[in-house]
Amino acid sequence: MSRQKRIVPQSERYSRWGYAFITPWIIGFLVFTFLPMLFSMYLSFTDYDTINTPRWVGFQNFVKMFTKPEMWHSLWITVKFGVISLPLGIITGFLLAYLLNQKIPAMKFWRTIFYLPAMISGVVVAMLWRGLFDDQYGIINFILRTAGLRGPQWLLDPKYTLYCFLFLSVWGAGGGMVVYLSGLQSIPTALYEAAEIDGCTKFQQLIHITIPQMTPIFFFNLIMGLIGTFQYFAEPMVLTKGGPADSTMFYNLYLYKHAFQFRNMGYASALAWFLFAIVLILTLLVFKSSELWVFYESEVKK
Amino acid sequence: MIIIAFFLVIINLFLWAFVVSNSVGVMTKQRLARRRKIVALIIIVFMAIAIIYPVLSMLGGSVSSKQVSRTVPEVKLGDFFNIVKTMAKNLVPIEGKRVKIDQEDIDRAFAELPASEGKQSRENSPYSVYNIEIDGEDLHLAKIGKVGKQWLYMTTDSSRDTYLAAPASEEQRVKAVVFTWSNFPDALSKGDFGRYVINSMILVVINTIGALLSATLVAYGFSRFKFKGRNWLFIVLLSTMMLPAQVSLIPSFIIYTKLGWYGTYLPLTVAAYFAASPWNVFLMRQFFMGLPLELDEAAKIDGCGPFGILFKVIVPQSTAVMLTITLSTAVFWWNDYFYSLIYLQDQKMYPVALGLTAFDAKYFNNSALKAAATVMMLVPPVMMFFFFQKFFIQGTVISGVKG
Repeated sequence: MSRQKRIVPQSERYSRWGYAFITPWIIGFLVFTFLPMLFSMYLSFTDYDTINTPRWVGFQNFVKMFTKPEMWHSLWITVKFGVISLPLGIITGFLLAYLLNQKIPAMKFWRTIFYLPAMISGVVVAMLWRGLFDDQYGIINFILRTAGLRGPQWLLDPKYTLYCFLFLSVWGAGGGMVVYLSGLQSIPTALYEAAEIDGCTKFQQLIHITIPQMTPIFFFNLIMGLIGTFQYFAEPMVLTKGGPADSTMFYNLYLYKHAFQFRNMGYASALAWFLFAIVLILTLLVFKSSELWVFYESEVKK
Repeated sequence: MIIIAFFLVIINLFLWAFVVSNSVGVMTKQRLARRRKIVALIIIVFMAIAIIYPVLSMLGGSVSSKQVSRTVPEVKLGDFFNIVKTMAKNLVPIEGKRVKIDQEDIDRAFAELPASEGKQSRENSPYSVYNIEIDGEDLHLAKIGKVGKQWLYMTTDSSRDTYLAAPASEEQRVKAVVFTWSNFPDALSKGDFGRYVINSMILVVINTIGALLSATLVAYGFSRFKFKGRNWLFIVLLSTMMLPAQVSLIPSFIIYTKLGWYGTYLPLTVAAYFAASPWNVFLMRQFFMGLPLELDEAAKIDGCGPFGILFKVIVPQSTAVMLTITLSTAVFWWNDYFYSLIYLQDQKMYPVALGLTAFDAKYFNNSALKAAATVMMLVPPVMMFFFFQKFFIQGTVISGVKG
C-alpha cells in the first residue's frame, strides 16, 4: 500500500482501464459463480430431475435432508475423518518441516519425496494403496501377520474402511511441509539468539518461539483443510465408491450420488447449501477463536 | 499396533535428541548438535521410506511381466474350434456381467464335439462372462459347458465363436517374474491409454493458456489501476477462494447440459478464460505489487498505453510467477478427476485420471499393465516438482504464508 502512495496520481480516464482489465473476472464471477449460486438457491426449493421442469416444493428438500439418517451419517463420517486427520496432518507436516529445517544433504530429493503425495491425483493415490490394503497380498496385513496378528479385510469390512482413509491422509501430510518449512525459515534468527543467551533449551525454543510464530500458518492450513475435507472425493470414489454399507459415504460423495447418479438436482442443491453453511460457520468459528491462539507479528508492534 | 509402536519409537528418538538431552549438562554443544542431526536424519529416512513404499511397489509392478501360464496341449477338434494357447492367470467371472445365448447356438457348438463328451453348463442362460486373454487379446467369453477337464467358452458377440480352454494346473503355471519395459508401450497402445494421455495434454494446454491470459489481465487491473470499488471487488475475489465448488456445481452442470456442452471439453475449459481460479489472480497480483513502479512510469512517459506497459514492462519481469501458474494449472488438469467425471461421457475423450479408472476396470486381471498406466500418470507431476520445486514452493508459500 505504501508503494501506491508514491505513484503519480492517475487520471480518472486512465484508471478506468482497470475495469476493462478485470472484466474477464467480473464476467467469470457472474456467470460461473454468482448466478449459478442464485440458481442453486432456487433449485434447492424445487424438485428437479433435469428432464421435467422444476417443481416448487418449498422446504421439502430441507425437511427431507434433516430427517434422513443417511445425510447425518455421511456428515458424521466426514466430521470424524476431519477431526482426526486435520490435527494429525498438521502435526506430521510440522514435525517433518522441523526436522528438515537444517543443512541436510540432497534436500531437493527429500522434499520431492515428502511432497509427492500432494502432487499426484487422488485416483493414483487410490491405485497405489488398493494393493497394499489387500487382505491376502497387501503389505499391511503381511506386517500384521509377521507380528502374529490377523489383519482385517481393510476395504471390505465397514468397521475398518475409515481407517484406510485416515492412513491415506497421514501419508499425504507431507504436502503441508513445504509451507511450514518456509514459515520456519522466515522466523527471525534474532529471536533464537536472544533465547540462547537467556539459556533457553531447544525444546523451550520450540514451544515459546517456533510454535507461536507458526500459528498463522497452522491457522491457514486448518481452514483450507476444513474446506478440503468436505471436498474429499477421488480416493473414496475409486477405492470404495462409498461402500461397504455406506461406511465411507463422505459428504461430497453423497452429494455427487444424489446429483449425478439419481439426478435429484433439487435435493443435491439443498445438500450443497447445507455444506456451504457448515463450511462458513466452521471458518467463522476458527476465525473468531483465532484471536485466542494465533500470534501475528503486528500485535507486538502495537 | 505396529503403527503405534513405530510412532512411539519415533517420538522416543525425538524426545531423546531434542528434549531430554538438554538437561544432560555434560555434553558438549557440538556433540549434541551432531546427535540431533543424526536422529533427524534417521526419522527423515524412515518417513521417506514409508511415503515412497507404495510408489516403489507400483514401479516394481510396472516393469515386471505378469505371471505366464504354459501352453495348454493342443487339441484338434475340427475347424469350428479355436484352441486357446495362452490363458488368463485366473479365470474369474467379470462381476455382475451376464449374457444371454440362444440354446440353439449352444446345441450347435456341442454337436461339433466328437464323441459327445461335452456337457452343458449347469448354469443356464444368461451365462456369466469371463475376461480371457487369447493370443494377446482380451476377450469377453461366456462359459457354456464342460468338455472333459476343459471348459467351453463362447464369444459374447454375434460371431458365436467357441473356445476350448482349461484352467492351467499348478504345475503348468510358470510363476516367472521377468523384468520388462514392454508394459509401458502395451498400456499406451492397448487400452486407449495413449489416447487418454493426449486428451489430458489437450486439456492441460487449453486451460493453462486460459489461466495465464486471464490471470495476467485481471491481476494487472487490480494492481495498477485505482478505480472505484477496487478493494471491494478484490475482497469478493478473495472470498470466492473459500467458496465450496459444490454450491455452483449443480446449476453449472444444468446450464452446460442445456447448452449442449455435456460430453465436450467446453465445460472443462471455458471457465479458465474467465479467471476461474482466484488463487492465480491473487498470486499474480501479489507479484505485480512487488514490481517497481518506476519502470511503468518511464514506459508511460515514452508513450506506452496500458497494454504496452503490461506486455513490454510487466510481463517480461514476471516469468517466475507465470511459470508458477503454468505448473500448478498443468498439474491440476493433469490430475483432474472430478470435473471430467461429471462432464465427459465418451470413453475416447477421457483424460488420464478418469481413463485410469476405465483402464482399471477393463484390465482388472492384468496388474502389470495397470501398474504401468499408473506410473505413467504419476511420473510427470513428480518430475515437474523435482525440477521446478522453487516455483511450486513459491506458489504455495505466497498463498500459504503471506495469505
